[in-house]
Amino acid sequence: MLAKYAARRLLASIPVVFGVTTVTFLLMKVTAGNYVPGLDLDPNLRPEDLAHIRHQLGVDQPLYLQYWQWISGIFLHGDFGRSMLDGTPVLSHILLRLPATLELTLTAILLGIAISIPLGVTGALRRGSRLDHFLTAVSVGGFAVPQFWLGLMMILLFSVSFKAWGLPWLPSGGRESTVGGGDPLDLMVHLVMPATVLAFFYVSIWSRFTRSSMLEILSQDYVRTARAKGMPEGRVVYIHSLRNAIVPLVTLVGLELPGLVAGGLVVEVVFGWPGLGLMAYERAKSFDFTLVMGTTTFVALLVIVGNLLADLLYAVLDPRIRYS
Amino acid sequence: MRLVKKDPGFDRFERFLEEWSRRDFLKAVGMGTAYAAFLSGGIAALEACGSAAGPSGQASAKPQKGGTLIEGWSTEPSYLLPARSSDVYSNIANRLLFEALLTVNKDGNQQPNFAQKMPDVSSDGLTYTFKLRNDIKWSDGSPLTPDDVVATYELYYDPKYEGLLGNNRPTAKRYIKSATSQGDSIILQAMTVYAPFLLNYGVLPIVPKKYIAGKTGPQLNTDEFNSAPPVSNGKFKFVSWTKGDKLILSRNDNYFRGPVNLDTWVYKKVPDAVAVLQQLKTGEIDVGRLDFSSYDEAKAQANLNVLSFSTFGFDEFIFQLDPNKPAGQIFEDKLVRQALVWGLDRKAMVQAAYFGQATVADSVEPPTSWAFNKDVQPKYTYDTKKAGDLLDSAAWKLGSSGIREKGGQKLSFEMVTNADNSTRVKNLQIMQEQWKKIGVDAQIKNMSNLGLLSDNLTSSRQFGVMFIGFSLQPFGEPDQSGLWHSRQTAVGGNNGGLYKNPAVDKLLDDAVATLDKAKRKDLYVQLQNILAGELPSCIVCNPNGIYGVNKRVHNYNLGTFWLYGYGNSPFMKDVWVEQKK
Repeated sequence: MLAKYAARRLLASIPVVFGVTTVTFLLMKVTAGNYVPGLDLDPNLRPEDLAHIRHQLGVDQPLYLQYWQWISGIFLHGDFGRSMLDGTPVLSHILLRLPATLELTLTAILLGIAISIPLGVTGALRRGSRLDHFLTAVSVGGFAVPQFWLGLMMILLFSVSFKAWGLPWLPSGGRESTVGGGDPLDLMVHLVMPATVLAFFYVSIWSRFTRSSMLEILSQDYVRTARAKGMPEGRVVYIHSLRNAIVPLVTLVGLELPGLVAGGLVVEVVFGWPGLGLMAYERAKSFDFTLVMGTTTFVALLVIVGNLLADLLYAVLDPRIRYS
Repeated sequence: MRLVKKDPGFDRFERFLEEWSRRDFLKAVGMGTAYAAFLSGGIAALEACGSAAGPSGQASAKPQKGGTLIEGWSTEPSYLLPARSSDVYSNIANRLLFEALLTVNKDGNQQPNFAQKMPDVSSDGLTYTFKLRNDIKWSDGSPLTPDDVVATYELYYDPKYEGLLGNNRPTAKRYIKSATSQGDSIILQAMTVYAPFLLNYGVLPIVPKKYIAGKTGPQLNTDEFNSAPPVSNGKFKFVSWTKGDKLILSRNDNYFRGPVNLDTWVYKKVPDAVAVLQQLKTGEIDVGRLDFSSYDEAKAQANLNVLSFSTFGFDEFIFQLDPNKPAGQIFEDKLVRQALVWGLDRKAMVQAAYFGQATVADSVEPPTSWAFNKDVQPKYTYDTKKAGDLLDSAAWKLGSSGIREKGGQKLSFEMVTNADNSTRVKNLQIMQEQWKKIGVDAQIKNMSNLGLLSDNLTSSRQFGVMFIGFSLQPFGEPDQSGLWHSRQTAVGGNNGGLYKNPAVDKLLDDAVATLDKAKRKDLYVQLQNILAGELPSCIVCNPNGIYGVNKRVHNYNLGTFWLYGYGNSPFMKDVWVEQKK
């Protein structure tokens, strides 16, 4: 049963993959045109030289042929192509950058969970209080404030101004110190600001979610029963209610998992964090379309596979769910 | 009792003295020759400071050995194999690793480097004979031989490397016929008499035959050498490269001019121009190129020196001259083109769009070029009356709408540039405003990025006026055939306005075939006058290069001709940094 379902889901993802790759491919081609990346406007180049270079790169072929070569490389040979800029395999770039991205997003997600649950519970328990209003305001702010703006302001304050005031300051970007960096403390210092900005966004959503979910649970009959039995309030809230209240949160966090590889783009760009997002952004700007296409497809495949696995896992974990 | 805070500068000076006396002593005892070499290096450094009057040079301080210099750039290098690299950012790094037979001094004149002296040129101008110095070593201590030189040149012209990507080979193949060696002589044969031959091909960075020979072009495209060259012959050797983050080089003790002052040189990838300024302020980077708009802010920083120098290039707007296009029918008339330039306050443009960091241009040659004609005729100033008169005489009469008309057609066209370059966008806005005053309706229709703009210039050519900039290469070379020659009107060429003038073609062809510099200059003087009169495009200005340099860095005397690793960045030999404790 499960196998059949898995096979059906797999088949259903083919049009999705096709759609994603086609759109990416066409978008890249439309924005970059016939431009050959990595060549400066060089007055010494003659028209015939440029034609020659284009021919060598294969970009003078018809679009459908270029698309076919690219897509068949991925699915028949696991070859995501080679970077237009430096000729190295796209996959090697992705694998090189993946750890940095995971480091940032995992930290942010964990930080987000660790902060949003207590905040949400506090908000629910003191519903309508000043603290609750304050938390609501902060969370709306977190949702509304653009990450890039927050990031830049933090850099301005904690790096540039703190340094100018002679206070201990945080590095304005990067994953480690350029010279002599790489020890755990150095890595952590670099992680603080980008992870905070990213986590702020998660906190603002998840804490609201925890709050409303908690409110709903707290008004359930069994909670009243537990209280009526004289159960200590702490036990009612944290053992009986919270456990049920965060079940939907788990789904929500699960939905963010694709964001593990793709979610931090803006933050990575602002803080020069050498992850996948920054790479895709940089390379898109310099028309390295093979690399951008490869990265997008890689992430899309991860998301599809991840969702499929999650669906199957539900079935395994929860006996009430049956797929047919 | 009052506490007197000790002057930190004095403190540093004391430490400095202490360290130096110890070092000098060691050197004097242990290695007399090295000491002498060091002294002469020091003197050279002082000279460089004095003559260049380098804004970052503090000639009174004595160079300190060791330390790290971090340059922050918003674009990463691509290839460390010089034959493969077509971008200036790669050249910044790979020219510190690999040097050439010749180098370039701060005035753009060539000097011998690996060659003992400037080459002998045969009377027909086709054969160049270099004598290779015998004291050049690779960083692993093995000698650099004529075989290495020949193998390097083969990368650029020999059919066995066909398929090596980049724009070096396609252009070099046209001019280099062969490279051979005879004893310690290297003989280069040129295909034709080509005046810029040495400026282009005397400076090819020499790479080790051992790691190149036996590979094919396509193999070299993706060879390990591009990202981690095992040996080098320049001021530095390769240490590591974390793509997207930083490239680290360390001092090459076998460098033939003696070890440089710095221990380590780092090329750090910084997100963008905003971050460059921020990291200059915090000291996370020592050197960074700045936007025009950051000049004042950087200048106000206590920890920064700001370099600002004229670059070897220009920003221009090109007129569409293709008679098959509506704008071409307007601009066909030379009087209209001239009127539009008379009607433009380019001084105001330089102030508003370049924050004063550019010089209004009169000629297609930059003033830093030896072929620059300072008396170029005509010169255009801001004169709306003259502009109006010219348009009147071209029968474009002011209509009731405020826009000039001729035979029912309005004097209206589209202007384009790349929207991600704020300086260019601002220029177009000023032009639109100023031309409106003389009854000209110019509509701005920008393209999102340089890729599309360059595509438009070289292929589709759908524009009335295009604003774009060129960095003329090689630095110091006055030939601009690539921009004005009629053969560049073919699809793929940079003559996207389709300017065709047989007299200009002939001057361009004659000038590159003339080896006598004075005679060449005569030809370029004529050319500059013709182009100033005909105005296939208006050379708006020569923009400055602006660099922020931390005050702890000394002798960073970057100038017009040493930008992007040209001449193998000879100033880098004398750069030194005050070290953090």
